[in-house]
Amino acid sequence: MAEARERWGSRSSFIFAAVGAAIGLGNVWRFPYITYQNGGGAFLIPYLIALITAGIPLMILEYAVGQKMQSSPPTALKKIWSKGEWIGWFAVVLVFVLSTYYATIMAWCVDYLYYSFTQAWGTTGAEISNFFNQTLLGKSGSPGILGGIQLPVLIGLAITWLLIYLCLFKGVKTLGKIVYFTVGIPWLILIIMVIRGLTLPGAINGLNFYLTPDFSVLLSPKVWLAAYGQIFFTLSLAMGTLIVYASYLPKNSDITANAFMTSLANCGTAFFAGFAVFSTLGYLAQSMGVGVPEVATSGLGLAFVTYPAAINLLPVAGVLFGALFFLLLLTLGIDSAFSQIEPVVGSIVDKWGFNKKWVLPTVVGFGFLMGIPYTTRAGFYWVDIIDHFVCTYGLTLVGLLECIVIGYVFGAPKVREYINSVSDVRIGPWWDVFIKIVTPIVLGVSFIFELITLIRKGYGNYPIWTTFIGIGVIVILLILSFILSKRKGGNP
Amino acid sequence: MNGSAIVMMIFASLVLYGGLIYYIVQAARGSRLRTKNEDEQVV
Repeated sequence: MAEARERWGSRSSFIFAAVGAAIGLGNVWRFPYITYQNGGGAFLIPYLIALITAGIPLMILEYAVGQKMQSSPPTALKKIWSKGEWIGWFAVVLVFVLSTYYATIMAWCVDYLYYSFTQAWGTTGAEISNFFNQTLLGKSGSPGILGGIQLPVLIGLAITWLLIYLCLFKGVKTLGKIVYFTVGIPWLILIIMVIRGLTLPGAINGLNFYLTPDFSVLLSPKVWLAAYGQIFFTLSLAMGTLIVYASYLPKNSDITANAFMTSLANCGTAFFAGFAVFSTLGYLAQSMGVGVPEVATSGLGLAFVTYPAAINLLPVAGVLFGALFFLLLLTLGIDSAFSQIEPVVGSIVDKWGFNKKWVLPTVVGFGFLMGIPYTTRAGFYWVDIIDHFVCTYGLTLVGLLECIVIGYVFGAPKVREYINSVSDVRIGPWWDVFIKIVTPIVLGVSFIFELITLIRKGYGNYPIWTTFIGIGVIVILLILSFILSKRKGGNP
Repeated sequence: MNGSAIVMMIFASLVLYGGLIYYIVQAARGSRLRTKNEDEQVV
C-alpha cells in the first residue's frame, strides 16, 4: 500500500515556502535594474499588468494542478492528459539542470560571505573587479578553456549542497518551519539595508533614477516583453516547484488567495529591494563624483563588484553591512535552491515509489557532481550560457505547454470550477481568457522573438559552437523527458 | 525625490502591499471556516 502523502504543517508554512521559492537573487539584483532600464516608475505599469494577466493566473493554474492531482508534475500532468507526462518530466529535468548552476552562484555568495569579514575583495574598483573575475573565478577567457577547478568555489558548492540536503532531509513538515527563517531573515536584512541606504548622502538621487517615470517607453513592445519575462521568471513558474508544493496541501485548501498572497509578496519584496539597491548606488555615485547611470548595473556585477565597492565606502560598520548583504543573498537563494530539488525528488518518489530517504541524497550528490564543471575557470561562462537556454527556451516552452494542456485539452472551465469550489475568493471567466489566450500569446511571442535573435546572432559574445551546445542541452533534456515518461512506474 | 517618482512609489505600494494585506485578511477569515475540514483531511 502506498504511504500517505506528506503534508505541510499549516497554511502559512506553505505560503512561506512558495514565497521563499519565488523570492530569489533576481529580486535584488535583477528587478531594480530592469525597472531603471525600462522607463523607471513607468515600468511598474506593464509589470503590474503582466502580474495580473499572466503571473497570477499561471500560479493559480499550477497550484490547482498540484493540489487537485495530489502529485508531482509528471504524474499530475499524466492524470490531466494521458500523453502529458513528458511535459512534467521536461519541467523536472530543466529545473534540475537549473539547480546545478544556481548552486554554483550560491557558492560564490558563500565565499563572499566569508570574504566580507575581512573585505578581502580589496579597496579600489579595479581591485574589486579583479578579485571576483580572477582571484575567485580565475576566468579563462573562453568557454572552451576549462582550466582547473577553483578550490574556493568547489568548497562553496559543497557547503551549498549540504545546506540544501539539511533543509530537505527531514521532510515537508520540518521544511515548513525552516522557511519561516529563510524568508524572515532576508526581509529583516532588507529592512535594515533600506533604512541604512536611505540615510546615506546621495540616496534620494539614486531613488529618482529608480522611480522617475518615462511614460514614452509604454509604446515599446520590448518593455512589455521585459515586464512579462520578469514576471514569468520571478514567480518560479513552469519549474514544477509550485505544483509539487501544492500537492502537499489537502485537496480542499484555498487556491486563489494563496496565489495572490505569494505573488504579491514576491513582487512587493522586489520593489522594496530596489530602495536598498538604488539608495546605495546613489551614495556610491555621489562618493565617486559620477552620475548614477555610471554605477548602475545588475546581476553578478552588482552583487560582487558594485556593492562591495559601496560597502567599502560606508563611513561606519562596513564589515557588518558587507556580511549582512551576502547573508541576504545566501538566505534569499537557499529556499529557491531547495525548492528546485523538491520537484525532482518528489517526481521520482511519486513515479517509482522509492524511499525519499535514499532518493534525496542521491539527487543531491548527483547535483553536486554535475555542478563541478561550473567550478572550473570557464564556469562563469557556462553558468551564463546554460541559464540562457534553460530559462529563455526551456521554461518558456513548459509554461506554454501547461497553458495549452489545461486551457484546451483538459478545459479551463473545469479547472476553474474546482478552484472556486475550494477558494474563498472566486475567479471568473477572465481566468480562462488569460490561460487560453493572453499567457500563451505572450510566451509564444517571447519564445519566437528570442529564437529569431538566436538564429541571427547566436548567444552573447561566445563562439557559435556554444550556441549549438545550448540547443543540444535542451534537445537532450526533451528526449530524456520522453524516455522517463515511457518508463514503467512502480507506484499505482 | 521628485513628484512623479513619489506618485509611482505610492501607486505601486498601494497595489502590491494593499493587495497583499487584503488577501491576508481574506485568508485569515477563510481559514477559520476551513480549518476543521482541512485538519480532518490532514489526519
